[in-house]
Amino acid sequence: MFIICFELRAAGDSYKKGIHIDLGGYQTHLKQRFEAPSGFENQVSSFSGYARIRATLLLGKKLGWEPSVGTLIPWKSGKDGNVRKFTSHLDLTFTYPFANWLRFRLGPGVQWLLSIADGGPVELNNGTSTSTFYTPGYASHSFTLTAQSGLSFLLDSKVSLNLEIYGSGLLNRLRRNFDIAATLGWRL
Amino acid sequence: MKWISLWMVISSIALGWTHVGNNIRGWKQAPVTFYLNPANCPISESELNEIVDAAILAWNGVTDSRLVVERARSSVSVSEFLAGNTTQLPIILCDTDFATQVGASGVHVIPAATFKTATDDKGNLIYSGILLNSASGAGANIAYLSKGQVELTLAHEMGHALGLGHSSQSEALMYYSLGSKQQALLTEDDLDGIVHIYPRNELGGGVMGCSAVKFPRNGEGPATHWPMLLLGLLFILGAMGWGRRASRFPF
Repeated sequence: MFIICFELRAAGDSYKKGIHIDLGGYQTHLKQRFEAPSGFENQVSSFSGYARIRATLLLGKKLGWEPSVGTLIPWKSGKDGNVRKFTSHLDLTFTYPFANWLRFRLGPGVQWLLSIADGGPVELNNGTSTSTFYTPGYASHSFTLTAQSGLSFLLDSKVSLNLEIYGSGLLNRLRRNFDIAATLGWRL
Repeated sequence: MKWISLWMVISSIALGWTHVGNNIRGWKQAPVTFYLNPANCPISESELNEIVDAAILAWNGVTDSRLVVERARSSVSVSEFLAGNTTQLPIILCDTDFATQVGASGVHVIPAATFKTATDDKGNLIYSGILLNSASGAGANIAYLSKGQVELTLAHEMGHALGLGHSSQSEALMYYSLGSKQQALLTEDDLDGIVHIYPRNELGGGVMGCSAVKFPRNGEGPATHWPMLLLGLLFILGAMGWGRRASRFPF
């Protein structure tokens, strides 16, 4: 434990400006996952990969500013590929050091959902026979403001572990939603 | 091997939602009010109100959608609705002559259905209604279903009335069969389908889930852009702060 702490302390001194690539995992709809009946957890909440490019900029001796752009991977798609969904984040996060090796993250952001469909009819079961339904032939964009908070562990002069929670719809009990992300970052 | 398994789990996420029509754009009015006439229903009005409210609750909880659904009382009859003579839409009615709509065999397996869905030339929904099976002696009369099953059925039909078609995902609310489902639960597939029709734009107003429901595509409702301005201001302040710091302490 001492060795790990020593390593982290030494690594933290090297927090400085740079461009980082973060790769990790992203779990959606945490609240719904905990409230879902048994067997439906993975239907109301899904796990995806998460890739992000993040800039670290120093605003003072301690305060850092980390604008970032990330996307969930792979992009979700229909079985026949005629519907695709892209989820991206633009975050303007501020960071403050709790210790040389540990930084607190907090800031606003925007989640952009882009849904694209090719359009056309789909034959699906309706209980007694089949009915014709449709995938839309237009793209749909949804922009949701998010509040992001988390911790960054500076493991090395170039490597960090980032644990974050994204909140959206925070002012509305029904629409409130939380996603979490865990990424490993490399400074380029 | 673990990584391959993880990748297979991630890659297996598939969308299955559809819409009831080609290029559906949803209802123009906000909130969308479901008009309920409890006449001829085999269950009490208070119980029906509870069921409708529970179904509405499911559709009102979609974070990334601007959709807001409400309930109001109506006195419109089934015949008036089927004749196209009502403006109280979408509507929920109990139909004692349900076999006429779904056939002699259908009346024993279909507890409810959505009828007369129509759109204008822009794809906006302008007419739709849900008929609940209240036919005497029918095997699928809603009186024979549990409260949870009626709630589930109604939430599914509301999905149709709001513009969603069936899903190919068996766990989705919009799958054609109730299966083992016991409550009106929206899966991510249902969410993705409804968000496509009713996307939310908090950069144009209605911050953090608050109610501002807008239809900028049709130019309706005043747009407030202060969330975008706030984000822009934060970006500029951050950039200025970094710029000052960089000029004093060049890296």
